[in-house]
Amino acid sequence: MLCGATMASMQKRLQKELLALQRDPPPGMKVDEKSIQASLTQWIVDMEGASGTLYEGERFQLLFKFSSRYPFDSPEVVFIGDNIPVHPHVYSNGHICLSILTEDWSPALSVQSVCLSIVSMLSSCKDKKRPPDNALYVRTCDKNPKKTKWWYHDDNC
Amino acid sequence: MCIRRGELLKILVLGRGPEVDIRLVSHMSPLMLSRKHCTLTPTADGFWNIIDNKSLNGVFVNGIHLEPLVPYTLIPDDIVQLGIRLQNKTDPEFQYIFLKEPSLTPCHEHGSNKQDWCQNKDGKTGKTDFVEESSRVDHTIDHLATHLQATSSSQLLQKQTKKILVKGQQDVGQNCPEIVEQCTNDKVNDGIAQPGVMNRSECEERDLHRLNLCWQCLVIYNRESILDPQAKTRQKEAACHTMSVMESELQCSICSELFIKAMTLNCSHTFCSHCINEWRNRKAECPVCRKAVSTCTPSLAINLCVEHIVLGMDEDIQQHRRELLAARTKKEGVCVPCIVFLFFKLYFLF
Ligand SMILES: [Zn+2]
Ligand SMILES: [Zn+2]
Ligand SMILES: [Zn+2]
Repeated sequence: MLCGATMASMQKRLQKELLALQRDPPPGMKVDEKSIQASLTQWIVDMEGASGTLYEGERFQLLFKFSSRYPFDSPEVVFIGDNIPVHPHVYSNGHICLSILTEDWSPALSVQSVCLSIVSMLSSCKDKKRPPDNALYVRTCDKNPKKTKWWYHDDNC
Repeated sequence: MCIRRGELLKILVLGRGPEVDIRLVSHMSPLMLSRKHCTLTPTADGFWNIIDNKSLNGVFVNGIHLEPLVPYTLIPDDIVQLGIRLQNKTDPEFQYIFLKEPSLTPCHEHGSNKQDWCQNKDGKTGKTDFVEESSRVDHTIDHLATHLQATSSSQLLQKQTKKILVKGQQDVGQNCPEIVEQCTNDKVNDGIAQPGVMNRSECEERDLHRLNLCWQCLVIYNRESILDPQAKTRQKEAACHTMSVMESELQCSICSELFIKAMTLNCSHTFCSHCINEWRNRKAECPVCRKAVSTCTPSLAINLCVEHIVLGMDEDIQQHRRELLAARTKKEGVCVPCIVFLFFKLYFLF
């Protein structure tokens, strides 16, 4: 059910986050202004692979979808576009295996903190490869990564 | 600042809000004055009434706190103070003296029943060029201003005001012997009408009173306005900075609004009651530090701070907050004793 209070709080929060991201974006990140709807429920963030990492010079796109219960519910975050980073936690359909996007989400986290987590996840990668279960997962998963019962890969990749 | 009664009988609203007639902005404490702090109303018989519009920090006349919404008729030499004196300051920021303005304007223009009071013995009325007169009055006011500047404490101010007033009158007199003559005539008139009843000072007082009725002027002088303009800007900047820091510190990290019914967890992180309850339904840990929630206590002090800040914000923000509160309250249900308690606390605090 959509409650007025929740809707209103979501608007203010998203407005504030958007403003912060436009004013002071993390290095290599940029909100795609055209992708933002009036309701602010969907944004695309353009990002560049950080220099000095395996993804240097690559460009990616992250799609954020916010439910009416954001920030109590985590945003739905997937890579989209032609270039999905080859990474042990990123499936070829764009789904990301990152605990803060599901289990470890907290309403004090933000689009910015999610972006930074993803950048650091890519930056710490030493071997560009798909997750071991990629083929099976991509064939069987729900479109919404949040519906996946993630079994988080360990972070030693 | 000088407000004159003038020909136009207009109700004047003073305050810091955008839609007032005379906007007063505090450089020391942004919320010192309320949006529509007080109203000055010219009365039919030539006086001014001052009304405290239930302002937060009040209206004081000669140090006495006026009852809200009860008109007080100002008399010359009344010291009007809007808001309170800050603890670290010797004087209140908004302190004014109500002065009567000696005038050459014939009194019959101000109500027929008062006509005889100001007329000369022979029934003629003194007419002088209005512009000329007002420039002289301006001079007098400037004179008062410079004298006021020199005074430092409120008490001193009160004592010196009378002196200044007298001096101001003399100045006008020097500039225009006609007035003095006219005034003297009035005095003589009085003396004849009621010989022996009044002593000299009473006589003078009555004269003052009559002049007052004929043409009354409120000379309000803002002592702050003569401060060094740079100091003013600095003060203003400091106040703005404090406000913005307060605003960001008092924001809920979940909804990004200023706290609405702030609740503090055992880890000392604070959220709106609505926000943290909503989150605790999912997970009993602090959104910021992830510590398990064991206690969740209302933070009255934070609530009071927020309410105080909100009072100084634009009407649309206040409206948004009311709507938000209503929406959240509808969902949660209200604790009436808590609300009543908060109102009382707010009332007595300010
Ligand atoms: Zn909140
Ligand atoms: Zn905490
Ligand atoms: Zn209660």
